[in-house]
Amino acid sequence: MNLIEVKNLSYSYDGKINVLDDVSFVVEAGKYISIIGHNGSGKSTIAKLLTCLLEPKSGSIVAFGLKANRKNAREIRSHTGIVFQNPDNQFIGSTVRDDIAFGLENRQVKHEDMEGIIQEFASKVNMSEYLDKEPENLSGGQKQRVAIAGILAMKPDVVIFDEATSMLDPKGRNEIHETIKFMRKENPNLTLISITHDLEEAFASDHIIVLNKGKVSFEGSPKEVLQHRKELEEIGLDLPFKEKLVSLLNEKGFSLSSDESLERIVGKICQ
Amino acid sequence: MSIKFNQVYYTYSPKTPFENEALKNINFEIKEGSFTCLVGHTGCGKSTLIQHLNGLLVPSSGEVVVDDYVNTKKNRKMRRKLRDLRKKVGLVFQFSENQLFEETVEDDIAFGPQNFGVKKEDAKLIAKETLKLVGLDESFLKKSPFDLSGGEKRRVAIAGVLALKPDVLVLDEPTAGLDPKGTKELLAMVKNLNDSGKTIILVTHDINIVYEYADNVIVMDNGEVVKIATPSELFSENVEKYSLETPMIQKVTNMCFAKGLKLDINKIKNLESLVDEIAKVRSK
Repeated sequence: MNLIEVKNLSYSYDGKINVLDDVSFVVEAGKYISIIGHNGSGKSTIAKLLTCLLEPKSGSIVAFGLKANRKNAREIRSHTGIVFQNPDNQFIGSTVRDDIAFGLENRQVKHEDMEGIIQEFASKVNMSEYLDKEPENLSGGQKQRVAIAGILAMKPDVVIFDEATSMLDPKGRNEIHETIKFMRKENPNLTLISITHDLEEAFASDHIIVLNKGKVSFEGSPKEVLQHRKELEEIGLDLPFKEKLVSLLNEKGFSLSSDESLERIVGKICQ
Repeated sequence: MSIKFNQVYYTYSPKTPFENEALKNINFEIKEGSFTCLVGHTGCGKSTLIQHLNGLLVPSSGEVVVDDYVNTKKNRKMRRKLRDLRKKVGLVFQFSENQLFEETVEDDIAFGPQNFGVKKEDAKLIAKETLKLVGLDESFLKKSPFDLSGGEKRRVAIAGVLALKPDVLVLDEPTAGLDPKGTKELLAMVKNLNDSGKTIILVTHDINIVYEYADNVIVMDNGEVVKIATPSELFSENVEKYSLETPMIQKVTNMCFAKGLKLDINKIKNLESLVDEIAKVRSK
């Protein structure tokens, strides 16, 4: 089932340059898709359009059977959660508990139900021990996890990650990767859209859409996308380490395959 | 011009319930013209440390010596020479693009020199020259800094600091949030500045940057310096105890060693040189 259909979507901020230019793709329910591209490729604009923060100038987005426009914004947002890039810009509450409660309050969840929901979702992101902590005392990864808990508590169908790890240190990044893995395992019906320029991260997803200068360059499974090695490098995206290693070694006359584990590859080099 | 930290301690909000000792007994020396990376996880005191370099913070005890400037609590008179220090040490904050404010790139870069008494016309000339240093051409001078891409904005912000012609450039996470291409270009630019004689101190989480660019690494943990070494010294030991990752290149090198392939570690700086070295040793 297609949860979201984007057709011939174009968008311009200034009426001159199209940030998005005739973009079409579909998002199937229960899939984890990545939208990748360089800085300024139009990735974040897509996130804003999908959450009705912007309205399409031409073309259309149909999400959950609804056309994305101002009228349907409320309904579409009730299905969609978004984690933004900067951990500090999305921490609203004065404590972790208040922050998770913020969305629930907006949904007018009964006060007596709220504490249980907060406990439940804080534990899903491993933040149960931090409920009374203030944001100053949290790391970037912890703040992002609180944001995820707040979103999951609203039971969305789709969660969008808009470069949610790009401001985190490696430890924080790993925490978010683990959280995403857990989310998928726990609820296979949840659809995830990750917007990123980290190919290593994108390769964990089911389907990758590559954006370049506002257009879809190509899309497919991680394996299919890897066939476009040259184009990826031209766009300025960094191939995963193992891919680069194997391709450089093969240029030197080795015949290795990146499907094998790093241990096996090194084993073959040393034979 | 060398930089020296002598028994530096720094405490935030002393004698309050929020008292927090951010730096504990910091001692090190940075040589002129070197490229030093400062690493450690979030909250370990890196940002506190670099603010001592240009006198934004004064040590609670101990001293930071930059050339003839001694940043210490005891010597109040010294603070009259603070302007000279700030000219010598340029500090580029994290997400420096947030500091852009002028209508044009030219005005933004010229703002710093004018504060130091340079005439407007001369400051504009400096802006033009400095823009070249960060790899942007003159067509950017009249553009609004807010119309630029993330990577371009950051270069303009760095140009604003370079316009003061500092001898030491301190950069706090300059590549955070940039895409791989922007990251590579920015680092090539920093390397160029280093080659032309500037002392570079770079704060980063990216262990691969450390591996490829640094002459020296200072590792911090919980307000203390826990290790000072060259990248190859540092990564030849298990760095997980410092909450650092081992760079992939080092992992492969280690695996090759374990399997009996003797690579010359001094020749390996990046992926290309690793592959060259493997090919060379294998062909013997």
